[in-house]
Amino acid sequence: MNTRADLAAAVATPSIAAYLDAARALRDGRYDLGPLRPLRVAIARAFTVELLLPYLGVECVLAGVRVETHVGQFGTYRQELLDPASSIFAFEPDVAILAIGAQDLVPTLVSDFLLRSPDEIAAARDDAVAELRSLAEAFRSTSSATLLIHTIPPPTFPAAGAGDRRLRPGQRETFEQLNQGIARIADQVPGVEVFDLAAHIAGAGQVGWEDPRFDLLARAPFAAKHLPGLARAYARVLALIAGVRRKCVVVDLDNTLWGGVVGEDGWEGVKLGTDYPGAAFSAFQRALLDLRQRGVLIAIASKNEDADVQRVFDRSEMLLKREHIASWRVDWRDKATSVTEIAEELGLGLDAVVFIDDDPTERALVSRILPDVEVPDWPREPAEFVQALHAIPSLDTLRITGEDRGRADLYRTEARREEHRRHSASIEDFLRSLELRAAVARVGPATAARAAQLTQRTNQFNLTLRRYSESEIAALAASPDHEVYVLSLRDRFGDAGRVALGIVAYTEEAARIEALLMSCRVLGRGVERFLLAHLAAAASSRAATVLEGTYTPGPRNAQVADFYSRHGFVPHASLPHRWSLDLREGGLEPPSWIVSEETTGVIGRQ
Amino acid sequence: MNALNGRLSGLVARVLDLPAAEVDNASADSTPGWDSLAHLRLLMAVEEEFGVSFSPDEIPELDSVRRIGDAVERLQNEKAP
Repeated sequence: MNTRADLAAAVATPSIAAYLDAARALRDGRYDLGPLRPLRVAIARAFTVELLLPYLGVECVLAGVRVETHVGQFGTYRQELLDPASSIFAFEPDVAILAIGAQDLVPTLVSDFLLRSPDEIAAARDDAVAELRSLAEAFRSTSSATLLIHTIPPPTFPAAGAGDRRLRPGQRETFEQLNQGIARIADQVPGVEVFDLAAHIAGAGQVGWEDPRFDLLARAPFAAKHLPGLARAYARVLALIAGVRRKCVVVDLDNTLWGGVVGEDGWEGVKLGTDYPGAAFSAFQRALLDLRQRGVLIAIASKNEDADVQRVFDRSEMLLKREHIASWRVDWRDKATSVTEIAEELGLGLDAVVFIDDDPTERALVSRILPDVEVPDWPREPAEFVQALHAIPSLDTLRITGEDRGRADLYRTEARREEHRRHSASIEDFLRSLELRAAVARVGPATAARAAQLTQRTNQFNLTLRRYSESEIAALAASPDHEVYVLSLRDRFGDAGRVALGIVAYTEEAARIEALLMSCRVLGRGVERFLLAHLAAAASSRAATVLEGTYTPGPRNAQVADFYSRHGFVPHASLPHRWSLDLREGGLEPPSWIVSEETTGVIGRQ
Repeated sequence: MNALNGRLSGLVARVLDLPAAEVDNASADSTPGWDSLAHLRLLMAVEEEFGVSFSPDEIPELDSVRRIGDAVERLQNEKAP
């Protein structure tokens, strides 16, 4: 039985006959394609789209969708979208495509452009957008299907020729504005998506995309050589509408993320940077970062020594930093195992994963053992990597949400800590590998609110359980015999923010800790020790000779009952829950794995 | 049958989904699947295969495999030096 890869190979050299053969083979069930999402697509149109259909069927399958199409009557798109009894609605589509051209929508902007006044041009543009919008609204009132509209390619040969860019308004400029208006309809009418046909045509080659002969004969505007690319672009959008979207790309390292093999060429020898071939790998990294910023997780599966890999990641030419990687598997196990573990760690199904490797053997292994993982063919030439990455439809997106922008950051933090915990030989190695950096600062007006919030919300790691309002904190901070300290923590995964607080009252020779607390998010990293050492040092610098601490038992803070004892404080001779530390004996050592960052007097950032 | 005709027959069979035996004498009139859409598709495929470009005038007239073959031959000869 033929697979999807065979189908891709059958149309790798695109020709009409190859696509027709493939479309028939699909129809006759001669391919075993695994799960495909069904999608019913109705096309309301003003021109001949039938020539595109065999290409569309094949390209949709390659993008993970099985389409069934219905084509509306020629040139009656308005009636068909407005009439609830039309064949478009009778087909009960999942998606309706509105396929119209500039001639249909904005004839005024196509002919005699130089005779039109600016007002006339603006009115034609705005009327066209308004008409499309009202069609979209009418459609929405009848059907819950997605409506796919497209932008209108500007004229290949503007009326003003080379002077179009200087014209006010220019013809291309007017089409750009028209297309902006069309795109905005998708914001205004729910369930409307936009296919940027104008951008597709510009990318495919504006000159020659139309074949005027077939347009004149049969209103079949698209030149034959552009039909495969156009079908592919439509298929990509349809697949995204159908929900074929993958969330994670697992990349190999050697000869994929950088040039050469780190185990042979050394960390300093692998190719990166501004010269070929290093520049090609850097460009690929840049493209991966773009994907990450729109919500795709980047993971690494590599057969290597981790130490070698880490040294490459230390190189400044690495655009992809450690913190960009959601999950790592750098070891000598097979890649199918690594990919499986990565998916588990990130809580994703294998059908959400794309695997990229320069080695065809690794690709074959992963696609055979894990058929749900998408394993694109990968070019040998690194200069082609960026294009190959963007050719993967399931990593594309129709719109970017705020959630998309933050997703990669959300995942990376916990996944990487977990991975390090697993791989670290000892807990101290783990803590060291986190690259913790702490800063302690006295509270100022900008941070009093957060300090108060910490005292109110922290129940477990809280020695005295005293709650303070923002104004109380501000008053203590301004008082000459009190200090309020707040600790901010960062590690290689990100900024944890202000997570611990200490309030100290100073008398003549003694410093008394009135509050000491820490957010449970950062338990187990030695942060409390760091803060305590800081308090001791601060007290010494104010000539205190003793640092006193108390513990107030509460329902949930038993874990800190022996906190002071564990840090070398001496219990009070008679009073319970009181300890003291003699500062003349040299204070406290902070944990060696936390780097102290420059502290200014007051933490500024809110 | 020359090489051009052999290639053309194979192409027509694929595009119109015809058995090879019926191709050589096929025409729009006598072939059920050869409608106006198939006609466009076939001529586009022929242009693609042979690297020629028909004029809009002759496209409607190329309604049999024989006529298409003649037109291709003529266009190729015009192209050749």
